[in-house]
Amino acid sequence: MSITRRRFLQASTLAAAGVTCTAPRGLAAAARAAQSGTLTTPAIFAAQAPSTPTASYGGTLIATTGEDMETFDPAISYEWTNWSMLPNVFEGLIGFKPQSTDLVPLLAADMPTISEDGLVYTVTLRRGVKFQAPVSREVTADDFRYSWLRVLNPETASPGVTFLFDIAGAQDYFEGKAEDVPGIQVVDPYTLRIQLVKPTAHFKYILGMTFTMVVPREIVEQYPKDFSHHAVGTGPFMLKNWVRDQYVEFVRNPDYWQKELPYLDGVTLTVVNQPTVAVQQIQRGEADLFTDPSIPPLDYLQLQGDPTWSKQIVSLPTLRTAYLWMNTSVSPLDNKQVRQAIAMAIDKDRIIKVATGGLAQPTGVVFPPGLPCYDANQPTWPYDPARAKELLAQAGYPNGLSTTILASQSAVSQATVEQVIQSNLAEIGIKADIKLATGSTYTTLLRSQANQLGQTSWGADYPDPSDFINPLLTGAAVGPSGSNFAWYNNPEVNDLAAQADTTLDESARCDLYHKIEGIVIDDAPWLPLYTVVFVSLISPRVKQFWLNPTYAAFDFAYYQVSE
Amino acid sequence: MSTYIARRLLWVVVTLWGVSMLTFLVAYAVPADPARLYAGPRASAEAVQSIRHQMGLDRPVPVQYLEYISQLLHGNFGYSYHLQSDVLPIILGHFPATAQLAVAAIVIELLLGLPLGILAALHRDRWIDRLALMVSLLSVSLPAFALGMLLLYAFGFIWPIFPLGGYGGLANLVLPAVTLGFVGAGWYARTLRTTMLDVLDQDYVLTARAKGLLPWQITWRHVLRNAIGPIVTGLGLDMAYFLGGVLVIETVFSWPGVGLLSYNAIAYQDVPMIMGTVLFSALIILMMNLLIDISYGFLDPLVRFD
Repeated sequence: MSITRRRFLQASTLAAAGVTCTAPRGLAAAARAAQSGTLTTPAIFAAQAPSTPTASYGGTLIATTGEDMETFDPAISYEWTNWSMLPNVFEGLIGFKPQSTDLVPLLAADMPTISEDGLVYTVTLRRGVKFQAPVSREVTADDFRYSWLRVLNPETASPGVTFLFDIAGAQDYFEGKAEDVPGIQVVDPYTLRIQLVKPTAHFKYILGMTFTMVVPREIVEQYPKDFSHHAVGTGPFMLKNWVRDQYVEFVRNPDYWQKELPYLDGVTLTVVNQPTVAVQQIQRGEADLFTDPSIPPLDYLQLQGDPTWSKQIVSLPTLRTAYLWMNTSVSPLDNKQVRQAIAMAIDKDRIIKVATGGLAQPTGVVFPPGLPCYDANQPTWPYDPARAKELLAQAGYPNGLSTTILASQSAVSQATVEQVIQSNLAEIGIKADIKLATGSTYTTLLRSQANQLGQTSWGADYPDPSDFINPLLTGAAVGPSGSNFAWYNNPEVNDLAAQADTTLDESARCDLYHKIEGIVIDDAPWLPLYTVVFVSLISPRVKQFWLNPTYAAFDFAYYQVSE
Repeated sequence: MSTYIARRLLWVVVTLWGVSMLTFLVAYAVPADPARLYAGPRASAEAVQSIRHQMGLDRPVPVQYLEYISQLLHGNFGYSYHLQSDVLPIILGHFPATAQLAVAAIVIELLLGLPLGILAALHRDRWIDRLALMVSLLSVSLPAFALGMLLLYAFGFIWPIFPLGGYGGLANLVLPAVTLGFVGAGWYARTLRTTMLDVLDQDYVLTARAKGLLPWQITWRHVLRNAIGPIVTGLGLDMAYFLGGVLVIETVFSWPGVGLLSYNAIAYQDVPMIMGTVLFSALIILMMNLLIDISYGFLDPLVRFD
């Protein structure tokens, strides 16, 4: 999932030190907690389970956002604000168990049955699930087929098409080579059969992605160019009103199939451009929840010192790794020893301080804690500038070398992390020039093969190691095709990754990923820097709340406010 | 007069055409790829290419420009893929907020700046003059962003008299208007002071005084009318500037104006929206200038139109 570069930089430079939670304390503990599916939440929630006997219904929760939703269409929405709000109104076959990264059936009656060869997924739909008013009819398998074909239709211009290419015939349909997608079959009104191109271990997660959420054809056909403003789904809330750049009103869906949900009468998303003002609004009782990635550090420090408000801070390590990439296809970074030397020259603690004010966990591995197949025991590069300098000399550069760092300039970041990297490299004799680019130009330059070094982060679209390896570290993802900014193309890794994709046995699969990670760390196309922590604030009015561990997003259906 | 207006309107059309061409070229000269920005980091190169084709961006630039202009002549400002909506309704939807803020800001600017300037001129070199000049200096030096945040913190948070930003009623309008008004008032004060001092030295003012007119009568009937010229020009320019949207104030106060719209358009390389907001602002500036020039005819009998 893409948090825009701008948003991520805002987030990572706007978090600050400390984690306030009852137990466990400390970031390492918090990371373990995230791995086991529990959360760090304020003391007042420590003892509560998702549905308490004295559940309080009613009230409207007011959430602030720095940017308005741009679109509200599961086929298209990908930016943070749109994307985190989609589950209010839309649902798919599979979802996540509350407060966990485990998959559970949602609009499916049960988890899909998978054929022996791993190629065919058969899904039975839950009966009696209705689209919201004004459509108000039962959802059938045909609706899912319609929704997925819509995503694959090139005219829809969906950013998420690639996720569906695992389905047989999907890519041909998208490229105009076929009139239909044979891989999506409607067996009967409540049974869907999906055929894959090859056995794909992560496919069950695709069925949980927002791009596969179901939409009613009636609304699409009535508003072909304006679905966003008339959005209708099957979810706990309905889109009532959307005044662009001001607010979005969601109200309770009275026909929601989970009868005991939602607790809230409604959720109102208000646009507050300045994060500091949003925090002030929460303190003044004008708002209840801060939804942007991380509150500003100065506000954080002030709130930390306040006995009431420090208890209202919520934080969670995310499935997002920040890393330094090195272009392995150009000199001098095509020399493995040079990369390894750079890996040992970087002071991660200093970068964490500069980028996040201290609220992040350093890491030396690719996968974030909490991701399946995360391996805390991988040997990683230590911070050892002396050894780095030796290695650089061994590599053939006893007098150092010159390189460039591509950096994005925004109002918030000012390339401070890149400056730390620059000074670290100078200590071992590498002269690094910082090349600044702004916003949209930066995003385009990122994929150029002329780059040398750069720093960025990657968050999981779904909690699976393939979502880290395939788009970032395989040969197929280099250049304009993907996000492999390191132009890393190791045939052994490519093979292992392809193998892991089709390996359905979980432990065998993790073995493969451990091996891949080991090779990647040694080859050092990257230096992993830290795991991002999401920090938010809630008002005392909010009685039941947690951050969804998969995306550090929100499960509004379960939240409660006191009235 | 009417031929003058007709000729000016023709120039408006020509200028807009030039603006459209220039903006189009600049938007395409930037090495940013709107299709990639829209598609996100996970889309394959083929998917991005398909999206580029859907957006019509793979055609030659002159072809795209001609199509844009022909759509424009039919009143269609294009479709923003980024916002999944037609461009014109979005701009028009944001315009009332910008217009309200512009008018309110001008009112405050004048209410603060003009009396200050008049007093300073009439009591030259005395304490009131010094005070007025100090306030003017503060006004032109203080960044709008800083003042806005301060006012919001003071009167929205510490003493919650006003809401913490947002758009809605008169209460929401006060702080952003005062911020913009204060920051602009200084110029008006100083300019009026200067022009009034020039006029006060004129012979006809001496004559008026000799005639026995009261000071306020002199000021009102003779001095102000002749000193007001540059103020009117400044007013027009200010109005045009505010109507283009003031990004900084909009972000501080979460004011849903046109400024934020154009900023986001540039950040996402949303070409139809960039074109829309630029042309819209250009049109307003040109019309404001025309109005100002026409108003001179009524203010100053020496001005002729030919």
